Amino acid sequence: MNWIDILWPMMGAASLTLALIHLLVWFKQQRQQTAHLMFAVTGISVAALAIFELLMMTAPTPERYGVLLRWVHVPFALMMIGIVAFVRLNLQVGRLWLGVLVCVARLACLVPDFLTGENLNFIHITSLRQVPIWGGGFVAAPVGVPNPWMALGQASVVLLLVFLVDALVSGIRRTTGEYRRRVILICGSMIGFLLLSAAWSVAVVSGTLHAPLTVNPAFTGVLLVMSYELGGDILRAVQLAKNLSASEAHLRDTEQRMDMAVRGAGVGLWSSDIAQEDSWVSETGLKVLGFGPDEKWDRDRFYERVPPADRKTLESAIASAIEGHGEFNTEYRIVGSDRRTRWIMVRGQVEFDATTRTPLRMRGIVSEITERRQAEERLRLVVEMSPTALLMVDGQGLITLVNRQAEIVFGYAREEIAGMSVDALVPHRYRERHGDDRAAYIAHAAGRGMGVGRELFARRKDGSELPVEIALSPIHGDTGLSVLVSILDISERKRAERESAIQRDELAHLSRVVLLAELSGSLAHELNQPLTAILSNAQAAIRFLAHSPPNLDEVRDSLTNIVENDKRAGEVIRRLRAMLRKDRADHRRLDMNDVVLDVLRIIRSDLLNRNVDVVLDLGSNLPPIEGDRVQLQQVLLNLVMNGTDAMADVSAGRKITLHTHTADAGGVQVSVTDVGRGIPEEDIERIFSPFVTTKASGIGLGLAVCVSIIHTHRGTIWATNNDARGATVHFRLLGDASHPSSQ
Amino acid sequence: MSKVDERSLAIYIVDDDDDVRFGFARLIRSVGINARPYASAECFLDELVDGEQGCVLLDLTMPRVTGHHVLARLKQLGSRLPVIVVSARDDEMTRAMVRDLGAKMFLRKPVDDQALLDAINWATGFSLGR
Repeated sequence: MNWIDILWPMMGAASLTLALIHLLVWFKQQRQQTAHLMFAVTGISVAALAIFELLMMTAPTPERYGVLLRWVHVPFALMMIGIVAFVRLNLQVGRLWLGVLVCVARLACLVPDFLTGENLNFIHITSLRQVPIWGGGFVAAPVGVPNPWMALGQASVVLLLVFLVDALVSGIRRTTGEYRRRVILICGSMIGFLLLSAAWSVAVVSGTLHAPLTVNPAFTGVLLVMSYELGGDILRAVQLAKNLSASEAHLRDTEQRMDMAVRGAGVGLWSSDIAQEDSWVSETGLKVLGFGPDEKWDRDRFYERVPPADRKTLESAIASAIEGHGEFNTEYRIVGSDRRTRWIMVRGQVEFDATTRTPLRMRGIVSEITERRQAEERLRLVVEMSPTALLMVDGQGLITLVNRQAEIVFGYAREEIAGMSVDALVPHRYRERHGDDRAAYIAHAAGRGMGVGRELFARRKDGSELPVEIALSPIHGDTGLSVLVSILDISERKRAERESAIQRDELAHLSRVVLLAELSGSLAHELNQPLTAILSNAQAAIRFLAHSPPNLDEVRDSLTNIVENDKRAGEVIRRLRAMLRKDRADHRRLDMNDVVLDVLRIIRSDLLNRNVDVVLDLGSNLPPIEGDRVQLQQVLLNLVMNGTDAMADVSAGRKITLHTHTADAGGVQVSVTDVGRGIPEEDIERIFSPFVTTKASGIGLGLAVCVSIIHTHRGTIWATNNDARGATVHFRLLGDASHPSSQ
Repeated sequence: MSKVDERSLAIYIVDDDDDVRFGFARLIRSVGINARPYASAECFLDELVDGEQGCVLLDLTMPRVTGHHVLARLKQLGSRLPVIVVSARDDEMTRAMVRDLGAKMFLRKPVDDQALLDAINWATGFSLGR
C-alpha cells in the first residue's frame, strides 16, 4: 500500500462523481446542454484512465500489462473527443476541422492499437521493471519493443495541443470581458496540463522523477478546470434565476404602481395571450367593465355582456390589429353585473414574435367613457333638434352631415342629401357664382354670414325656392377643412316683414289723412285760386263775345288762361289724391328738391296765412335718391307744420328754412329749421317716439310716422336745437348709387 | 253819391296769384273799366295816390304784407277808396276781422262775375255791367 494506491482511486472517483453530476444536469435540462454530456464523457474517461493506470502499475505479468495498455487507449480517445467537443460547444472557439482531425487521428490510433503488436505502444513487452517511487514502494513499468504506430498517437496529442492553442488565440482575439477570461482559463489550463503531462513523462523516463509513467493527474486537472467552468455556468444560471425573480418582483411592483396610478384615472389594464387564450384584467379594469366586487375575470362572461353589434365591432378591431399595424382603439358597450350599460373605450397593442411575426400577446387599457358618449349624444341631439337647418360641407363642397331641420327645409331625405354637392341646394341662376364663392371661401375660411347685404335663396328638392339667411363656420378637423353651414328659413320673417310694412303703410296713410284735414283750409285755397281764375276768365270771355264786334283776342287769351288754370286745379287735385291714396309704398328714383317744391305748393297758402316766410336753400346737382314720393312729402309736410306750430308764439319774423345738400357717400340730407321755441333738451331723443308731443294739441304720431318712413327708406332722422332760436330736424337718405340698375 | 265819369275810374286788383289777378282784370276790362293789377300789397301801396276814384279788389293771403296789412294801412291813411276783399279763405273770424278793418264787402273765391260787378257798383255807386 502506497500513496498511489490511495490517490489514483480518489482521482478516479472524483472524476466519476463530477461526470455523473453533469450527466444528471444534462439529462434534467432536456438534454439541451451538450457541453454537460461531453463533460460527462470526459469525466468517465478520466475515471476509467485512473482505474486502468492503477491496474497497470500493479500488473503481475508483462502480458497482463500489455492487455491493459491496449484497452486504456479507448477511454483516452473518448477523453480527447470529449475535450475537443467541450471546447467547441461550451466556448464556441477552435476550428471545427482541426477538432475533427484530432478526433479522427485519435480514433485512428485504435486501429494499430488493436491490430498491431500488443498495443499502440509496444510490439511486444518483454518484461516489467519494478520502479521505486517517493515514499517507498514500487510500481511496474514495461520494457519491450516499441510499436512504430506510437508516432500516430503522439501526433494526435500534438494536434490537440495545436487545436487548443488555436482556440486560445482566436478566443483572445475575438472575445472580450468575462468570456475572454473563460477562454484563457480553460484553454490555457488545458494546454498547461498537456505540457505538464509531457514534461512528467520526460522526467520519469530520464529517471529524474521517481514516479509512475502516467497521464491521469494531468487530465484530472483538465477535468477540474472544465468542472469549474461548467459549475460557473450553473452558478451563473442560479444567479440569473435570482436576478430574474428579482426583476419579476420589480415588474410586479411596477405593475402594481402602474395599476395604482391608472386606478386613480379609472383606467384598467388588461393583457391576453393569443395562443393560449389566457387573459387578465386589472382590478380597476374589472370595475370599469362593470364586474361585481366578487366576480372574477371571465373572458366568456365578458363577451356575453357586450351587445352583439358591439361585439362585432370589437372583434373586427382586434382582428385588423393582428393582421395589420398591431394597434387598435375602439369603443363598445357592456352591461355590468348591476345591469347598467357602460360605454367602454379600449386601446390595445399586439406583440408579435420578433422572427415569425406570430401574434403572441395583446395588452392595453380600458376606461369608461359613458359620460363622454352621453355628452356626445346630447350634442348630437342638440345638432339634430336644432331649429336651424345645419349642414356640414367638406372642402370639395360635398355634404357630409345634415340635421332634421335641414331635411325638412330642403325636402330631401338624409340618405339622399348626404354626399350630394351643396351647390344642388342653390337655385340654378346662382349656381355658377356659388361655386366661385365657395372656392374663395375655402381659401380664406372665416366664420361669417354668407352673402351679407344680399337676399339669399335656397332651392328645395321640388325646385321651389325659399328666402334664407346663412352663416358659415369653418371647422379644421382631422380630414381637413369642413364648413358648418347654418341655414335659417326666413320665409316666415319675410311674410311678417311684409305684413308690418303694410301696417306701416296704413299708419302712414292714416297720419296723412289727419295731416290733410289740418291743411283743409290751405288746400281749399289752393284749389279755389285756379277755379277763381277759370270762372273770371270764362265770364270775361262771354262778355267780350257780346261786344260788337266781339273782342276775339281777349276771348283767345281767356281760353288759354282757362286751360292753364284747369290744369293747375287738376294738379292740385292730383296731389291731394296722391296724399290720400292708400297704396303700397312705391319706391322710385327721385330728386329731393322736387319733393320739397311739391310740399311747398301744398302748404304755401297755409304758411302765408300763418305769416310764415319760407327760405329755400336747395343744393344743386343733388344725387337722385330712391324713395316713395308721397311718403317723403308726408315727412316734409309734417316737419314743416311742426316747425310752423312751434312758431305760434313768435310775433314777427316767422321763418321756415328748407335746406337740402349732398351728404357723404352719395346721399341727400334735408334740414327743416324753424325759429320757434325749440325742443327741451330732455325731449330731443324722445320726440320721435309715438305719443310724445311737445305741442299743446296733437296726438304725437306725426314724428313717429316720419321715423318709420325714413327707416323704411334706410335713412336716419334726428333733431338739434339751433344756436340762436328754434330747432332743426334733419333727415338723411342714401343715394341710389347702390342700385345702379334700378329704373 | 255823385255821378262820375266811368272812364276815369280804375279798379285796383291786389292779388299775388297771377292767374287770379289776370282773370279779374280781364273781367273788369270786359265791362269797359280800367283794371290796374298789382302783384303785391307793397306795389299797390307805393302807387296809391289820394283822391283816386274807383275801388280795390283785395286778396288776403299774400306773402310778407297781407290783405289785412293793406286794410289797416288804408284806414291809417284815411283813404276813402272802398275795398272789396276777395279771398279763398272764408270763415267767420276772417269776415269779422276784415269788416273791422273797414272792408266794404267780403267775397269768397271763386266769385261769380255778376256778384263781383254788383259789389263794385254797390261800393262805388257805378252801374257797371248793366
